[in-house]
Amino acid sequence: MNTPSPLLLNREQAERLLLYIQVYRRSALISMPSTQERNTTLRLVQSLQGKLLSLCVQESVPQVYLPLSREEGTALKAMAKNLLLHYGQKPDSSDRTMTVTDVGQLYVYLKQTYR
Amino acid sequence: MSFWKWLARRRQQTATPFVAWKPAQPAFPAIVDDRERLPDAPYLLPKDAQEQSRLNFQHRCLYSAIGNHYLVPLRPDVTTILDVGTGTGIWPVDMARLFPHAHIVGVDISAAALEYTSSSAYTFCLANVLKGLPFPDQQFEYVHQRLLVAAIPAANWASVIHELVRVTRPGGWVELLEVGATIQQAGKKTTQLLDWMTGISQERGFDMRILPQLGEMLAQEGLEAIEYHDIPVPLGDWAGHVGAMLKADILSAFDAIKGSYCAQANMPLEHFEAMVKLVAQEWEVHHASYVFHTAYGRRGQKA
Repeated sequence: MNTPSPLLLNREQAERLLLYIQVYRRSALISMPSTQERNTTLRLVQSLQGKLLSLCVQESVPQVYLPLSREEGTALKAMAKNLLLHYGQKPDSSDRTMTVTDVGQLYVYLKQTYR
Repeated sequence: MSFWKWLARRRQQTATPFVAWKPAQPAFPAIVDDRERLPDAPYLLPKDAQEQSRLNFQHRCLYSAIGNHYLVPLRPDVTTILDVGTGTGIWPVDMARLFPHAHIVGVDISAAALEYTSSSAYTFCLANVLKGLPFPDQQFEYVHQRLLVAAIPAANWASVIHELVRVTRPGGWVELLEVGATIQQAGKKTTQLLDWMTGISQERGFDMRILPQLGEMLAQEGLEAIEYHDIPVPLGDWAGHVGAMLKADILSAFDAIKGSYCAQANMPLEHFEAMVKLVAQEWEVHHASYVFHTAYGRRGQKA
């Protein structure tokens, strides 16, 4: 089985991914029913948040290399899909459009990479 | 006399409005049930085998409800973890499986409930967080405390949080999880019961209304990146497995505290038990959810 590609992020992308993870976790804990699927995604995403935070601590490093397992990639994909629904319900604005576009691109990349 | 008539008569007799009550000195009245309690601590719950069972069940229930044993974004190679109010020790044991590089210390005021012996992965020791933690400053990367609302009087919360932060390393995390008296879709009888329990708790110096301020209390200690969530968890068979588990746990917790509360209020146990039966039915009809309050934050790197 081929090893999935890692995520290679510049610092800005890493910060945005951390924000998306935070938003997803908040939304999932408060408003999604506690199913096995939700809990598995939450655990994997939380673990990735911890890994990414520890990688971002080194301020001198311009890029972050985040290895992902197939499971983690699938969890991020589920997260991105959920975030598209979450942001899609927000009032229309230029910020919302940018965020939805950004998350959409993430979702497409993950969908292609982690089938 | 039914519980509701008793409650109405007690309200008429109370001269001081509910919100103006000042907490009295904890009186530790004679206990009317046969549950074993700590004699020298302001702790509302028992410390016996039945409570041990309930705590372990609650641990599993929380895992199903919030999806994990912890909420902070821990790095995988975290090395030092503290669990305050460790009870049976089940949390450190499960966390040790998730973080094999970590050494976890579990402290509690009593060893009576401990079910595990110390190992290379976890150590248990006695400590009363109300009197300070027996550790140097900046010792732990992650400090965890949950469900101590029945052990920490309102006046002590700030000093307890100060202690938790004191022993946390720069860059480390502090996490709190509590459950109070907030039930969504509560119904009339549930609201009355919770109001009564809140009042009784306040007479003993406990105030569950402090729980929505956990995030602010962490901020006052200088923590950063604070997340605060009110997490509603379904309460009742209506919500399937998770709801049924939480209902069983909450009913068990009510059973655990009834001795303290009924003794203080001079209420027969049977009245309380009858009332709890009714509110449990209400949860099914109204599709109630119990709200868990959680807050966590990070100590600054240069703190």
